[in-house]
Amino acid sequence: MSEVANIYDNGPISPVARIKENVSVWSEEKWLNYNIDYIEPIPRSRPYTVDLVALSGATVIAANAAIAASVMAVLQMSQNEMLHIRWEPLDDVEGGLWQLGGAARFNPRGGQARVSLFTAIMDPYLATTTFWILGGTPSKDAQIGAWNPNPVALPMARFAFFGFRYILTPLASPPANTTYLPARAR
Amino acid sequence: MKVGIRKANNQPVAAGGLVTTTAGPDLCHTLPVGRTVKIKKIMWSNNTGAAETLIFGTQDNAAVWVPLFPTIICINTFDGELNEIDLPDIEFANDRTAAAGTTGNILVQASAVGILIRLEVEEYGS
Repeated sequence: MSEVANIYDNGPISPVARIKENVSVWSEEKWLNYNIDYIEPIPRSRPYTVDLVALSGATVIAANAAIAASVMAVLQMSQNEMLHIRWEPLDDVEGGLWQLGGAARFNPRGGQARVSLFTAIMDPYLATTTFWILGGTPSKDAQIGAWNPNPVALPMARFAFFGFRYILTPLASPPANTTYLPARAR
Repeated sequence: MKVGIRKANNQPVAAGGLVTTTAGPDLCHTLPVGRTVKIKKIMWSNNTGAAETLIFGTQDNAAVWVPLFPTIICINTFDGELNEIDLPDIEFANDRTAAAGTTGNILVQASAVGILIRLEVEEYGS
């Protein structure tokens, strides 16, 4: 594993910068600049696995049906914190990502891409599922919705998340050297 | 080589996927839209009192039986298994272009009532 990764590195996930380096995040229609104080990993684990069927209060995700997107509470961050996440479904369901209070992510003109069990077949480190959450404002939280492509109902729609948490200090002026992140958190 | 996702057959839902034959074509697996599927493992148990047969296949869009596998002989009071290495690489697909295209669902035609069957399948697509 490289110590510092490119932001969409197609290998195992790594921090995008080192402690005491800078990151700049496109948010609120401008580059917000930070110095990194602290980085810790978020291992893939049960507390970071969310079952959207249970979260929605349903008993199943019906055949060929969807569960509306809802905020992932486990991924909510405090002010001046940032989460760097990759994710995958554990059941045969597809996941869609929204941020900014409902704006679709992974969403070129042709339509919104989804993360499925097939994603990891060609992208085993789940690099194409990478996204960031800049903490402090609820509208920047991640919302995940699920689709069941199967013609039978499924009892679970679990998604597992893993990555890194950064604690940041805001910088008053743009730094000379920084890592730019495309976190579109307006 | 195509790689897909492995799962157990998904029909009949009420029995959790454990097929009990009715001597008519019995649905074993319903194909999700946009995917294809191959059978990777067949397991059966025959306690009907006589040797029986199984044929796996699909249906055309008019619900007419379409056999795709050769006949499997099931000896009475025995279970049996066929694994990936034994099975032909038949890909079940929803062929919507042919005049009598296939549904791609996996069905079994048994010679008797009461044979128990489970499948392991691999689905391809996205």
